Amino acid sequence: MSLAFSTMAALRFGTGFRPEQVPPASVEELLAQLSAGRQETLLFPQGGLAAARQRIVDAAEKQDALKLANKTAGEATKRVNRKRLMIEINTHLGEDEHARFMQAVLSPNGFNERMASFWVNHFSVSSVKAQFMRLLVPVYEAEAIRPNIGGRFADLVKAAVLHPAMLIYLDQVKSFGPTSPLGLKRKVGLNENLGRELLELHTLGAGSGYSQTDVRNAAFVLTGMTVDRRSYRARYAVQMAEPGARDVLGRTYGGRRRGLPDILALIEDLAAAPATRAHICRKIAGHFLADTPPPEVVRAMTSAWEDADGDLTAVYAAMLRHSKSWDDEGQKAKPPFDYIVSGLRALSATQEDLQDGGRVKHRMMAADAQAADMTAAQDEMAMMPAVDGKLADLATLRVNPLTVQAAARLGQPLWRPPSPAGFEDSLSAWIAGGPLADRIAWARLAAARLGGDRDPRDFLQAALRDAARQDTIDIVSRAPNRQMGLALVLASPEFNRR
Amino acid sequence: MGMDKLSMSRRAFLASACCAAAAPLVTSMTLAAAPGSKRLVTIILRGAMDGLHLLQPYADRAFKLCRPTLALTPDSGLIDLDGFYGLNADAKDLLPLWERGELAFVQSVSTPYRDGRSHFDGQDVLENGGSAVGEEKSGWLNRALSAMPPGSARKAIDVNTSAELLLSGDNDVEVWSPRTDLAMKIDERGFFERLYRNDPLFAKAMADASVTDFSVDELYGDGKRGAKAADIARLAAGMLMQDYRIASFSITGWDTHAGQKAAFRAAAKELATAILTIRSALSPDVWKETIVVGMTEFGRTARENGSLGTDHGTGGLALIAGGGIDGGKVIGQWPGLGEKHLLNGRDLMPTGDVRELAAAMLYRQFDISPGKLTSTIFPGLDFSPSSVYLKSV
Repeated sequence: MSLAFSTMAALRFGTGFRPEQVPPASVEELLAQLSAGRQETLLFPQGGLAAARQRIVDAAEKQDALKLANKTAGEATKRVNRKRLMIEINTHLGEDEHARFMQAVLSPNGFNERMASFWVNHFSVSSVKAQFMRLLVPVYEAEAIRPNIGGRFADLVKAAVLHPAMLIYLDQVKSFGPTSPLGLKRKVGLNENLGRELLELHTLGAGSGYSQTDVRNAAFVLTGMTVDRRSYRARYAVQMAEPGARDVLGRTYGGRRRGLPDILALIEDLAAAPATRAHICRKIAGHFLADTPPPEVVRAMTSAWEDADGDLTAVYAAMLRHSKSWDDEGQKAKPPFDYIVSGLRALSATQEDLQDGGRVKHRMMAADAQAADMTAAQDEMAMMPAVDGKLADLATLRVNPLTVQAAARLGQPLWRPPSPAGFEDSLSAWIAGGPLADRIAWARLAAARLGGDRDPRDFLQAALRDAARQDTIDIVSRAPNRQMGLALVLASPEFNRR
Repeated sequence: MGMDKLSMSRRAFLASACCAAAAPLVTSMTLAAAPGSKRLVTIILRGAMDGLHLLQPYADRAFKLCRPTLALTPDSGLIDLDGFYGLNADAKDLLPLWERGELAFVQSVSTPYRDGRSHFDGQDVLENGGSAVGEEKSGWLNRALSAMPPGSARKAIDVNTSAELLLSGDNDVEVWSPRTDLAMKIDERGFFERLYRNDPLFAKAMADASVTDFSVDELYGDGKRGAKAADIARLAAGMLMQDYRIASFSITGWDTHAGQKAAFRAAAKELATAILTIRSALSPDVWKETIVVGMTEFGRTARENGSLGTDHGTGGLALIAGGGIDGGKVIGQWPGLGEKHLLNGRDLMPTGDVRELAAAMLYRQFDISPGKLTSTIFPGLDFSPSSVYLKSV
């Protein structure tokens, strides 16, 4: 190990140094962040999970009421009503996005934050898939992912894959057993989307030996899983489930009567498959250590998985306890979210620095829609037709240029991955001409806004400690002014790598 | 920092100290006739562009019945093209291209995506190039880069703030938005170059950024860098004048559920502006070697709805433009608008696969083999060099 333990712990396995926080000094302290993280009061969704769940129920009721009212309303009123609801939902999402950055920047439990981000990306869902996804995705991360990232992998899969956000994102709600009562009545059939991704992305991995028949049968086993449109909770509807037994990878699920236990058994078996632990362990090591991680670390992780029945804390511990996990720093690039978060931590950004920019009159936002960098929500608004006079009182959220807007500009819009495979994770994907220019621009903006009267040399020491290389120390020391010095620290290779 | 001072210093710096970086600008101008000189621009029209509003089949008697308030005729401002179709005057700037044979429309195309009518999923299929949502995890245009003959120029740029699926995948693609700007004085740039000097990956990224940034500064001068279609198209064309061969960007604003006549205008103007900007920013030689393809995730309902707009449909319209095409025509089979001709009694019936159009343009521009086009790039697609989309233009 060439760097101090605490440096590697903070940079490679954490969210970077924050001067007010003491970095972990041992593997045990790193692992302890998982349970400490679970005890934290999450800063998102706004007002807590119960409040967010209530917002979803309220919005669903509003939507129902709207449908009723719209039966008799004129066109202009309908449009205003629909838009009002959309703006309300989008504003909630915008607030949660800002709060999500606060959580990462302020939390003392960096390893827990990193694992949460890893798993949210592994079980990708997108807030732009449908209107209610804007309310569901923050809840998904908070209630399905985070509580389960230190437990058994099978339990994490169940929580993620059977969550309404995933069921909507991967079209499970549109999948009917073709000969199920509802399938026959509505003349609708199977949607393979979730079945395929469950095997290909979530568990076994592409090219691991399953067939198209396995995919299709997995989709048959999953039929019945759907979302209750009032509560937006997952629900098993037997009248959507395809009757009969189906084989996936040589095991049979279900019989004459189908039920949720068949689905849970399928997930247990997939989670226990050797291909799954090989796929997942390699992906975790590939995320933290190097695009091609040391095989001996991956082996240690898979055997820990076997010994501990897929207990993820044991798997992380095997990685963290392996000496090779502490070698060769800087093989990975921070993706934009982590880059931004670590920069803001180095600058000791406060909750206030991370607030949204308040509300602006809706009309303004719509007019400037094409020109501005927009959140997903506003993007969609821009696609909507002319604004009505009646909407002039409405206001939309102005996004923080250092967080929500920056993540989109740098190529990683929060909760909006480009596909179910999530965001890129390789070094070369993030360090290229355009992205680097955008990172430099962010570094300069952050230095200008939050740099204050810091001495660049002190800032370098605080941000990178012994990871700072001599040539970087020299250049930063010779910077023509303070702001430039701070920007050079944030833009340096060592600060972008980990 | 004054803008004029900035770009002056950047230009002076590059002209004096950085000839290698500036060289591609000079040499590429002369490359137009060399092998590997063909270019392709893809424009994704996000939000489901209403092809029946852009290119109106005014002579089809069912059209007016489907769209009592939206349907236009040459008497009410529609620009007659061929006695059957007319161009919406919102896109009248495209007319000279049509007259010169540099513009063609492709009627009634769609991806294999059916019945879901979700923008999100429709765009996923359009970009992943497969036959279902999520079938491929990369974009077809990125996979096409792997299939281009060895030794050919194959640089691609995604003119966006973040990478879109269409160009995402294993092959390196530059992502650059008009607003991406190094915006530095010479001395400042020197600091960053020294900062990256001993890290080859960062040094290369910085050098690439400097070259691109230089070209982009040249394109925009001291002017405002907006994110409008004209700014984006200018950047795309500027890169194609150098050693880039593929450029891609998006135009939004097509989701015209209500008040379509007014709502359509801005997007249609953006589309026309984008195509004309590309044409004018390319040299005449390069324009001859370039094809622009505009495509959307799906069309809209044949009938207008109760809000004087249209809803999500299936069959849609694509367009191709370029100095070397045999255009001035509408390609593809017109399925008609009678009740029995519509898909599910509501949508324009697709009579062609928009992926076949894309495959045809890749074949034409880059000599990509039909075998690769129908296996790795568009798995399962039916395409051969006798495709109607190759023969017609």
